Amino acid sequence: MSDEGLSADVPMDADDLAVLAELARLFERVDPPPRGLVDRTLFALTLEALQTQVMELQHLEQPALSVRGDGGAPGRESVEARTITFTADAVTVMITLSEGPHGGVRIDGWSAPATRFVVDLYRPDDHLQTESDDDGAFVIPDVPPGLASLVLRRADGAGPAVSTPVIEL
Amino acid sequence: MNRTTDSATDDVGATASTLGRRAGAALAAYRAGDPQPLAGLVREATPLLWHVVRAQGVERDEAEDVVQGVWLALVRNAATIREPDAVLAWLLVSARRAAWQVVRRRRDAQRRTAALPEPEGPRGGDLASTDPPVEAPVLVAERDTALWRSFSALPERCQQILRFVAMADRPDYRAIATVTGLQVTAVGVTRGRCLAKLRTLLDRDEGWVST
Repeated sequence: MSDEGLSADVPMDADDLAVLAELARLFERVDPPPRGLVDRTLFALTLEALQTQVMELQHLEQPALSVRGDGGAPGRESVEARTITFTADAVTVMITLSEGPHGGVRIDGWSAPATRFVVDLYRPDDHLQTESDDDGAFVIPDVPPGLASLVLRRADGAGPAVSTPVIEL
Repeated sequence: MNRTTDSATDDVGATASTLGRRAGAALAAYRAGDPQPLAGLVREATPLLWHVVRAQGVERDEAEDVVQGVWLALVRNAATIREPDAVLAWLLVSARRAAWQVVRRRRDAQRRTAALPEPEGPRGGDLASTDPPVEAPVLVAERDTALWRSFSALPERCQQILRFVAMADRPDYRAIATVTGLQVTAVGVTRGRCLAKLRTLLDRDEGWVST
């Protein structure tokens, strides 16, 4: 028996191994892990390492127009604005997503309390930073579609950093 | 009998040098500030966790959350899992527990909404699913259909063991025991019986024999 690791009390013969190999192929075919599960997990681990307070998704508004197959231009559904609100103990953020100038996603954000925030947008492969104005408003003009999480810190250093759950832009 | 036990113990040691040992090293490196080996482990072990969770009867989209949650929990508990050899077992146990919780929650919800009482399987905690672990897929090849048919006819514990043995690169007895709730010493015998059952079913299946 070539594979001692598998053969304790009931040795497996070549037919056993062949059936197991076919089972493995069958499962890989009919029930593979979802594409992107590993990447999403790694992204979530990266965010976890930031040790932020994760905000709760409070409200999601989908425009009534987003009905498929209503005779509109193809691909039209994806460019409509949607508004999402997130809350944590000390911070509330509302973001509106719309089509950016170069085909990406434009993020308009308002945070409360109205003060200056350092805003980081994390994506699986990179991250970019901006600041809100004194009223808590910020704009990220053109982000490629995909997974993302916003992390906000008060510029005056008060309070914990907060992050949104991972969202699909 | 002693020999059998010894060789099962050796299996644990031998295979710990592969995935189990890498798991331990990855978490140690993570604790020390190097996240790269853990990223490698996530890539390597996610499919295995996926199949463990799915074998418990968790739907695909829920299974995705479960698997991701297990990895997050590992990182959050990194400081408390000191024994390198325990990391893989920790992942498998967490995956199985989280899967049970999902299945139990779904069954409770069904019980509340269903007017008719469910047939009582051997409940009481562990492996009491009366649902097929995976919904029947659409299969084209007759041989695949035959294999699926025979596999689905196996007792649930057999399905779990064989799925795990088939998917793990070099499954060790302790890992299988962890996933199935069997004693380590019973794993070899049970696996052998399950394989024999599957092959008996296949031998009777026209779709398998003729292809």
